[in-house]
Amino acid sequence: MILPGLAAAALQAERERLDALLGAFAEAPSWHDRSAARLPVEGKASLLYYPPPGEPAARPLLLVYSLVNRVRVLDLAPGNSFVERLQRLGHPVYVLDWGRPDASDAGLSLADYVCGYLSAAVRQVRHHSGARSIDLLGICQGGSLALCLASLEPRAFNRLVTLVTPVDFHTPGDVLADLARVLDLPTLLAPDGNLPGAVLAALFGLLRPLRGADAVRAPWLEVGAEPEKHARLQRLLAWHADYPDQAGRAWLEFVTACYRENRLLQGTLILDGHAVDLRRLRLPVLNVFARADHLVPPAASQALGRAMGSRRYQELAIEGGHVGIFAGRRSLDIVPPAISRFLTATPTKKPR
Amino acid sequence: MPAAANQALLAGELEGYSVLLDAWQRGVQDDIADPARVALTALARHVDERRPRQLRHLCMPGPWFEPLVDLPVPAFGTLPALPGLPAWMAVGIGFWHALLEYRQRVEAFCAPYQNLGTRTLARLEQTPDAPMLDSAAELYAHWQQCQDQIESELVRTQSWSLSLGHVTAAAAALRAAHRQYLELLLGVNLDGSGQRALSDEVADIRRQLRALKRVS
Repeated sequence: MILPGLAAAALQAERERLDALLGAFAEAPSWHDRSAARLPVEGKASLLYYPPPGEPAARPLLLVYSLVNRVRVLDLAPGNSFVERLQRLGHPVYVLDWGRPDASDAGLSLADYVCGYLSAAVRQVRHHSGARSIDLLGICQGGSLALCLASLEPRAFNRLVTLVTPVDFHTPGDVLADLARVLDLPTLLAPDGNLPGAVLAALFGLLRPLRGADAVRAPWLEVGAEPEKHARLQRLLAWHADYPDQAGRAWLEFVTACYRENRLLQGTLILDGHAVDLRRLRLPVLNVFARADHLVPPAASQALGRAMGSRRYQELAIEGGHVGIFAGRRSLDIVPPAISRFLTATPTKKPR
Repeated sequence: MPAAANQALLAGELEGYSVLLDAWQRGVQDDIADPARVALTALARHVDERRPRQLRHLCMPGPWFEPLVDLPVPAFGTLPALPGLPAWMAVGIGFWHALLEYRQRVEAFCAPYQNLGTRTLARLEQTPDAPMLDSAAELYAHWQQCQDQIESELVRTQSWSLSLGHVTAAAAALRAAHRQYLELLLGVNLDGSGQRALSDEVADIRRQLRALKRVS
């Protein structure tokens, strides 16, 4: 390997660039809430409403994110926002904020999240927008939860999009599934019954090297003097370090039923007395996955196509990693327009 | 998140790069031959020493335990069960065992990460089709890529998952033993069972309301 031969001046310039970058982080990141309204749902859950700039060109779109991190990564910075891109394409966007569980939420079950919070959020979107049928977009674990509700209430939705969503939890190379098998899950819970966010932060910290060269790397060294890029990076860092506690019962149920027993794929996951059967999904589905996803292997997402067994299933593979697919600058030019095209495509039947 | 925390996070991300630049600048100032290679060696030493410490910190059962785990206490093996021992002493011995078990598990977990920096340097030098590097930032990005490769090979082994499972179980046992000890010393109940019962009941009422709505 030929190493670069750099003069003292070049090294000094690089040192000054690094110091300036660190200095720029002396101020706390500011999060400007761009939502037009916050609508109550149930418990600590609420909806953030982002209207399109002009007349709506599409049905209301409900975004469901994972319980593991906060939703604000979906609206990271003006010009670099997944939500903003969808708004500009004419979608009235509703983002479900699960809230931050505390000790009073430790008894919430997976069914409470899907048949309670998520179902109530759908009703609230319908009520607020006046639409009978809405579109649903689930991301990561939020995608799995969205699939659950869509299979239990198939008539509530017009179209469904899943992003980096695990469906088959037993594909080769699924490190999270390997861990789920060996961890003594109940011992990880805090005395209040919840899983401390710090446990997840440590776990995902250990898995970070898996991101690989093809994933979108954190652009620490690419950030120049532009304040917008600094602000974006600051927010990304703050988001990345923020793992809320997980409602203990729901977390145990999800890890056991999905990661250990693969019940979502097998159609044996029971919520509120009803089996979640993905074969009941008859609506058009677009499944977007990242080729270099280190947390949800592409095969784990692609299993949805086989599980549905429907010709209304489509896939879109994106170069990049798990987070880059909705927060990376390159992906934002590709993913939201592709989703919008899918959602606004001529319906095969008259919309309700 | 406060600015200081964010700054510390970024500084942590860029710590290795700072070490590389420092050593490189010193090498150029001292006019030594091949300062870039000397800087890479300094970075390798830094990672050798720093990464296991970072991992120990990540595995810690809580901030409280950091000084406790590092205390220079002797490991005297398993004590036989002694009948008639006062409760505080029996619980104390249980806590002691949990601490020793946790230390062993952490050491076993960190062992595969020994000499990570040295191994990264070797990987970097042996990379076939090494990219053309024109700047310090590119060299560091290439380093990170090689280090990530080695770590991801570790993480993908079954033994790594098992070892992490053992560490987390030992950390949980240590937390429980610590709580038991405090409960005994302070005469209070810290196990949170009352709180859990209350949150279970709240969730149950929610479920009943949902069922009522469905039938109404």
